[in-house]
Amino acid sequence: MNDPSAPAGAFAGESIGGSGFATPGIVSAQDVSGYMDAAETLASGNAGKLASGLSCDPALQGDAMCAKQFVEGFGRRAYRRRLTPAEVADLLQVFTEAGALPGNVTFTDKLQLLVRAILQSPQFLYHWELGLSAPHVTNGAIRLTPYEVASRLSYFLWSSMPDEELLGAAEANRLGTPSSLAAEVTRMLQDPKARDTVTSFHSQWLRLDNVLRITKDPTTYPLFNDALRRDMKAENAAFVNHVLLDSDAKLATLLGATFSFVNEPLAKLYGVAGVTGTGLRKVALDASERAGILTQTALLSTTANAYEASLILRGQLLREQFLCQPLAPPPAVVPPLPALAPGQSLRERSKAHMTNASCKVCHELIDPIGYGFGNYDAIGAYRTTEAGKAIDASGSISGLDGSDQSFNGPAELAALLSNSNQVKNCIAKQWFRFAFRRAELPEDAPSLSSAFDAFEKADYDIRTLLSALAQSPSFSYRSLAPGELSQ
Amino acid sequence: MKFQRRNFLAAFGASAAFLPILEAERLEAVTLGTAKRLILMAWPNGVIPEYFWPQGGWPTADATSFTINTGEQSVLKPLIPHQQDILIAGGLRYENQTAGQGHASLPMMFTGVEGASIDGTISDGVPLSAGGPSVDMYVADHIANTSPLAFHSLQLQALKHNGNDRFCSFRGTTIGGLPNAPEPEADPTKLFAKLFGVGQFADPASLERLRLERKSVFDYVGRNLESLGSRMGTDDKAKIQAHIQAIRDVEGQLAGLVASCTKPDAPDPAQDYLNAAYTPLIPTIHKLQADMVVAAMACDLTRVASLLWADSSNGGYSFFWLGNDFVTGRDADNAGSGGPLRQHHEIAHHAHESPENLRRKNLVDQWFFSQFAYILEKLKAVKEGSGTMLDNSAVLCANVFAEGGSHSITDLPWVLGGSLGGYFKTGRYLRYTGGKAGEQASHVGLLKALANGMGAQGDAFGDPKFGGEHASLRA
Repeated sequence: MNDPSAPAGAFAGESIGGSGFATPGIVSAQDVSGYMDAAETLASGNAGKLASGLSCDPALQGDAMCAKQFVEGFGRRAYRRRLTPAEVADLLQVFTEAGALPGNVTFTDKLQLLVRAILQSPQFLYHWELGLSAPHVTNGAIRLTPYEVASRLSYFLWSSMPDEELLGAAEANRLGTPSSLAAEVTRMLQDPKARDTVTSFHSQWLRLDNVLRITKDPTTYPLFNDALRRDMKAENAAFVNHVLLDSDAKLATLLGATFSFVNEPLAKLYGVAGVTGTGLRKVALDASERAGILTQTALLSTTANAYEASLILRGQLLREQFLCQPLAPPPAVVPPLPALAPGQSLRERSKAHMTNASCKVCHELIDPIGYGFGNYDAIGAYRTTEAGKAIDASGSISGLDGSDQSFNGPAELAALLSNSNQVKNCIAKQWFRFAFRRAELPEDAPSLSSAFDAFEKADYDIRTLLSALAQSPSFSYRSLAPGELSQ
Repeated sequence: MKFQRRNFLAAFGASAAFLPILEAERLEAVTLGTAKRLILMAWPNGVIPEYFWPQGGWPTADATSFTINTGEQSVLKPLIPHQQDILIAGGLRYENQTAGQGHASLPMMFTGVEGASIDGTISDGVPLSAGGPSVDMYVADHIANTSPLAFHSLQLQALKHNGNDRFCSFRGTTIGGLPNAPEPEADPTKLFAKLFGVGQFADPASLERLRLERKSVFDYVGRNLESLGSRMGTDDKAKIQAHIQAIRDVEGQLAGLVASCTKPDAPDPAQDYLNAAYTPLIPTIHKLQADMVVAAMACDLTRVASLLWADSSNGGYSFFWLGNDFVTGRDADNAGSGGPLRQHHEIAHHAHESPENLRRKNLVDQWFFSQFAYILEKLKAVKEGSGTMLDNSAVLCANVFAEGGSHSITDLPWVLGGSLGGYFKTGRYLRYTGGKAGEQASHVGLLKALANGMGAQGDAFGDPKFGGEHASLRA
């Protein structure tokens, strides 16, 4: 309803599932109360618009006729498909019964009740991929209805419901071919709604929302405050949207760009002169100091502790999120690292990990990548010395594409990652998980591989990857759930 | 299962004369003071045994005349005024968990079965959550089926947290890899609105209209859930059933509103309760939540509640109110912790490093027991029949594990308050809760006793292999 008060923002939190991206939990009583409150707030807050939006006049055509028009129109948007006659009849029954409520009941009161019912209904709240009757299984798969494909597209690219054009395409059965899906993806990525989705993917993938929660020691980092936290998030959002939607969308740009978007406080952190005010603008950065998303302030701040940077957290993020190699959690009782000795660098202290066999097992996968980030303090500012000594930013990635590969500093690291098959495959997988809100299964292998081929042919253009995922078989088919009956 | 519901007495505008039989019995039960209540509290990071157990050491015998240490660092000191109303159950251990689960014990601590795997992890990367209902939910389901109240139960959390270790109360085993747990409420303002808000204290005519409108909507939603759910696979069907159950719970809230309720003080709308980590706001939240739980029970809006103090490791409490050295002076080397301030988890891990660290650990634990003592006091302040509401309640103050540094899960430092209408014999310190010298007894035996004491068929709770109710607890 485009309500600026956004009452639905009050819903209970999501859990982080096995795919690494947010997955909704099970609906609890608190959620039901939340849906109820939001639906009631939206209905009463928009009461005036409900009747005036109708082309039907209850005084002339009767309440029932106008209610039917309302149910069919609003219901179609909310349920992302045309309602069945039985569904229309059921809602009209709610409308009719509302006439028996005690007190004065106006036509608008009854429309409000319909809005509340529709917004709390499972057809609105859930992604239904059940068709309208028990499904046909062909070659182990069930083809989704055009409406269901439209919903998948819309929640993938917009995190929101289909618009009129997309619903129209579903209604006319125009989402059945790869080329028609590709055309929709192109159109949808040009819509401003795609920007929130691009932001959300990167926030979840790189765990950047933590920047709003972490604390920094105020004596060591006096610049770090609430405004700067939000600026850091905004910097990443501006950058990823620019690269993916307004620029060449190349993976190499995402990882290696030597520009970013800064305002005055961020410019101070980056050491860029001449930027004033709170608005963000695109600036060139020193190519020897910065490389795309890898060296942005939000990422570097969240992969750091309160007093000091953390080579471990940075190495871990790269290993897990760019190489798709999740690490086992540390044992339950790990003694804390000793305090930094005077004149000791983070890199020197982490050497202890390599002398203890049980630490080394994991840390040899983590720490040598983290070494490449030695030049950034706990809020992402560039430094050339630590503990009075020049920083050694040479590192290595073990087992990258099957061999150990070394690099020196973030620019070389970015080049290494951008050229790695393993990394490119991992990025494709991350987008798959985001698009489908689940981890990939063995039966998704052909879809992933066709999407990767398209990604490769386009010289790793991420927009092409998104389009290829939408055109893949996994996007238009599903399998029969255990316990589900088919025809 | 049919969706159309029983018990919409308010929706039909019934006066007291038309109350269904069960409803009349319920009101009578409250008037006569026979309604029983169950409150569970969970908090993490263990205790230092020497400063916890009475008589300054490990329990040596069942004692009816035991002495709580009076020293400055005595963890149970806040319970001295309540000694006759508590039962210290020594020698309990988790048998539904493997050793070393530590922080990750949280989801299993109030259940009687082993954990089930989830799609995601608990603290310490353990991918397990509850494999069955927790005892509070088990009891609340029983109450909902026999004499439903406005609120099936309450689940509160003192500090907003999004991880999978934000739950100690579970409806049942996991569904499709997700914990089957109600979202705990962390916002005192929302809790107040829900329990004592405008809706419930509105004029009768508009309240009546609101109830009827909501009933109509819920009936519609329920019909649709049932018909769509019937076509789904097993996991999804279970999710839909959970949604239907949640609607019933909320629907029930519309019915059982009691006019003579005394509202507690409302939370301050200017406070940012949801961002209370590392702030001095925590004790205010504890007090607001305790006051509201006790008031809701005094009004018989609900009889079952759980309070989770933070989460399974609690890196978010910095104890400003215990003194400046509890907050600042943190060791800079504790990599991985979120804040620049000393906090609960860190204080527990460093307890043995110096006398100052040990003192901080003990005083922090003592403070948690003062929070338990506060609830006992509030319950005692409500007169019921010839006694107090505490006499009709069981309040379990339970740490997630036993000893802070080692994360052990034997000799759990659990204390029970209230006799649950004479079901438990309080004023005792039990050495062998399981009845056998030198053996640890399953914590499930205590949970079963809680369920039985609440009249909810405790013998059917949990996996039978963990044994029966511990008779030693009984009066």
